[in-house]
Amino acid sequence: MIEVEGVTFKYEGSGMNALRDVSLELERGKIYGVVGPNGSGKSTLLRLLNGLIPHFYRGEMKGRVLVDGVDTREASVAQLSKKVGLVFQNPEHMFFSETVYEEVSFGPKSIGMDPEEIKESVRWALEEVGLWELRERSPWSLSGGEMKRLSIACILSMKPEFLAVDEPTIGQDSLSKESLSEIFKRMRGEGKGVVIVTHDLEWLDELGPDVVFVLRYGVVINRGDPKEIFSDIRNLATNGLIPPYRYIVDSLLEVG
Amino acid sequence: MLKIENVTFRYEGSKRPALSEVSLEIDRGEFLLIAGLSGSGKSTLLRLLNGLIPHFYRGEMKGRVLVDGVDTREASVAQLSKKVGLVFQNPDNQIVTLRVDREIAFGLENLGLPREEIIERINEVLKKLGIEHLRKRGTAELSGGEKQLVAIASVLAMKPDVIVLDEPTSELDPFSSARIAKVLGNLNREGVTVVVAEHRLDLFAPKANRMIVMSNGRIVREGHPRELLYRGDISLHGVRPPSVVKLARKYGVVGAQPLAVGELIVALRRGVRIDRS
Ligand SMILES: Nc1ncnc2c1ncn2[C@@H]1O[C@H](COP(=O)(O)OP(=O)(O)OP(=O)(O)O)[C@@H](O)[C@H]1O
Ligand SMILES: Nc1ncnc2c1ncn2[C@@H]1O[C@H](COP(=O)(O)OP(=O)(O)O)[C@@H](O)[C@H]1O
Ligand SMILES: [Mg+2]
Ligand SMILES: [Mg+2]
Repeated sequence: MIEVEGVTFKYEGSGMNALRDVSLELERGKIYGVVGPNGSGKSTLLRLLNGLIPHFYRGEMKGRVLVDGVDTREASVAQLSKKVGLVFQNPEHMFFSETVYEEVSFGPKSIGMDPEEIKESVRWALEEVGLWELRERSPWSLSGGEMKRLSIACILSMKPEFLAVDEPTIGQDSLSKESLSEIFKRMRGEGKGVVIVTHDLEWLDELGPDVVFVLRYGVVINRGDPKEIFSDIRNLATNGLIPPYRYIVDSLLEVG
Repeated sequence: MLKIENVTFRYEGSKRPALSEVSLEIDRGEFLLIAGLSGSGKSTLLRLLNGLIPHFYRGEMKGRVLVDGVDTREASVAQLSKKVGLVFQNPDNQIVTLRVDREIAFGLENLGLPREEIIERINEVLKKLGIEHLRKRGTAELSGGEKQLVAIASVLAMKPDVIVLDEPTSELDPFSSARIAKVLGNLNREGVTVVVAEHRLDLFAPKANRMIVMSNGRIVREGHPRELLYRGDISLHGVRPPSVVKLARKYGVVGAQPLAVGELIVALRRGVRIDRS
């Protein structure tokens, strides 16, 4: 379980808190959706989960984050990354290998997986995201959507128990969005915890998360069952969000 | 004004061409929407329009591209960018300065505009996109969506005749996405030519006068968005109709062929055969 307890965080040099007194719990075997307008703190929340904050980002942090009972301040990011895999929003500047295959092997090697297992895991991860055919290509030569899926494969191959993905649908067409949904649901079925940040509420609705968190100005202003959250159109709209269209249409038909 | 003549392009080091025998004419004042699977060649096509291909990307190019009659090989990217502004798919690849206001000023200085005009244009575009609060922020410290808005702003501020955007709303929240669609719609009405590659058809199909679908480096469909999205066979190429179209089908308002959620609501209100299945 990951427990975020009363976390307030301000990036160094910034005048505002990016997160304000955020508390939430994330369990295995569930999919969590995190939604909110631009700048509301979603990516910042994910950076807490694997210790990037406070280890790599400078700033002022109050409260604490426990991963299976261990305070992230007491563990290294390397240790945490075995448990919590984080896929960045814009990962392409982090690629450094000559081929797609090597790029995906890097993570498993760095956490000391054994060579046979690495082979299997890399192949599985690349097949999951539909990039096995492109394994000999340079990461830099991929299209934007392919790069995003590569970065997902890089984390999948490490077999983390919690997977946090920042905007998985960036650059994805409808087919790859469906296959991403399948991956995340399978992981939930295998008892992994999955946290998804997205603006694509239509897609999130189809994915069917167990719990949705709504962020605004760094505060979790709403949380719970997706149906309840999405049908509260007025609340979403005043917080800068638009629910999946079917909820809008349903509400119109009820009134009319 | 933009003419792609039978272009085939293969990136250096890659076996397959990213574009095969593509021909496309874009007239002044059009709003063209480009759809297609990831990897189908959308970004490659856009890179042709401002000369990034062949000037910056290495590879083998056949055919030619004309911008106002000038072959892009004969013009520099700097010259072309005065006419054709491109918003990159990933804003990180576009942003070159350390502060938001300087980022927007950068392109304007290259146009050789006087200082007052630059300041005026910065004010105008920040206001138009609702990001006045970001003016003095460091570009490295922006959230993903904020960066994307700044990248769009810096191209809009240059007021090119043609604005080309590569998945411009991929990181934007619903209100910012709608705002971008609206701003582009307004510019188009003022005569600016707009070319957008997007998966978010719900936002741009209602604004576009023409839509093309790409698959495996070719243009495989072309027509009015209404016609393409309601004819249905574009799903052969992996492009799914947006939710509005699905809902219109579900509730039997297909006759009205709504593309925008507003049109769907109007159609439902008129009670066009509401089938509560
Ligand atoms: N490295 C950083 N240094 C300083 N401020 C930052 C940094 N990263 C983000 N911020 C600021 O913190 C706030 C929250 O940013 P965050 O990236 O978490 O937002 P987000 O919800 O992920 O937004 P988006 O939907 O646009 O990705 C914003 O005001 C942002 O500008
Ligand atoms: N810089 C590049 N070098 C080599 N190949 C590339 C490069 N950019 C894209 N490609 C390849 O060209 C094809 C078309 O890509 P792209 O135009 O980016 O597609 P889209 O924008 O439709 O997702 C893909 O197979 C992609 O992997
Ligand atoms: Mg973010
Ligand atoms: Mg692209």
